[in-house]
Amino acid sequence: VVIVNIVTCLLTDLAKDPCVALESWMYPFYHSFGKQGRGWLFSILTRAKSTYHATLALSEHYQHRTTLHNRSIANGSDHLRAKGGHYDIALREMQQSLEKSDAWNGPTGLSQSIHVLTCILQLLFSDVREILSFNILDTD
Amino acid sequence: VKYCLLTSLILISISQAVCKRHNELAMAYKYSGYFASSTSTCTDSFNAVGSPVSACEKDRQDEQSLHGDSDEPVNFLLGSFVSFDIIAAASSRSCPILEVVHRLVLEKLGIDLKHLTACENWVMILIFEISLLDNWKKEAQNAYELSIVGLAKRGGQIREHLRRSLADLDNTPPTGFSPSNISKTYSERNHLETTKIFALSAMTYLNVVLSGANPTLPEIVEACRTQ
Repeated sequence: VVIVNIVTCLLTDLAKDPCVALESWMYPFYHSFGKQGRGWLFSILTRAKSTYHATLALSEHYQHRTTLHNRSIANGSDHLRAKGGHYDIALREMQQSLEKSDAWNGPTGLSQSIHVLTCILQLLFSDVREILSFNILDTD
Repeated sequence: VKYCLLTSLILISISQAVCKRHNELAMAYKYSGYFASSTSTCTDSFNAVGSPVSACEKDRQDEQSLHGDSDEPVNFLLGSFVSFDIIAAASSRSCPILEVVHRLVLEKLGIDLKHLTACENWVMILIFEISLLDNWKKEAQNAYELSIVGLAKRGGQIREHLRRSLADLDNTPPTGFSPSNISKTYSERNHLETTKIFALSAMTYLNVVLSGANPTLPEIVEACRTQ
């Protein structure tokens, strides 16, 4: 139910303005003055499965933190990293992409690198959030 | 240069770092079963990525045609990973993971962290230099050849740079409010405040490296009070 709610929230937000969700959740200070703005980030979300799931994993983590009490966070993080979850799918998709990376070259290669690196960045954010959650619990 | 960095060095280095990080997390959070298997698969695949030089050659041919479309994501990713690496090295007292020249990437490639993390490039570069100084101090201490005079001299140069830049920040005139451009005004104020907080934190960090983690040290008290 939680996942369905998150997906619904995400899709609702994306339907309103795709960049709003990305801007407010993950990159609040990111401003682009280029012609395409932050559109490339949203474009990757819709094209790369790994980044899509990594983003959902991160939003799931935020949702989890904001809706549950601190004591439930430790139990919940097992669920967030469970097999078949968004984090798990994102990690596996990223690994599968990397397995094919020796064949990457030219514009497609750069595009693939950007997709994978964006996914890695999202996963790093998830890891940082995870560590911060544990630290907060420790200090409590 | 940016494309080469992104597609070869960064990909390999970051991927290895992610493997390492996942392995550490696995150990820390007892997910060893799941992470251990995924880590080994991951590591094997990174070995097959190919040499940075060959990737470089291939991408150079397409650099011109890609420039218009890919500059924004390349700047974003390089800037994010380099600043992540700097902050990680500083907070864990370890060597940076990326095999790039951090200072050159931030100075020469047109990456403006102000629009990514709200902290200006010069602060990030100084934080990196402080972490290098810390590593140098550790190594010299282990080899019994630490010169306090040398440490103070190197630290003094960084401190002077920080002081001058902080004074410039304080003298920056506030951006006038303009109803037609609220977003830009907001963003300017954000980055000034954030840069100042990072710079004062860097000052505290420098004092800790030079004199030790003593909260009563006048320089540390001063930096924390301003913050």
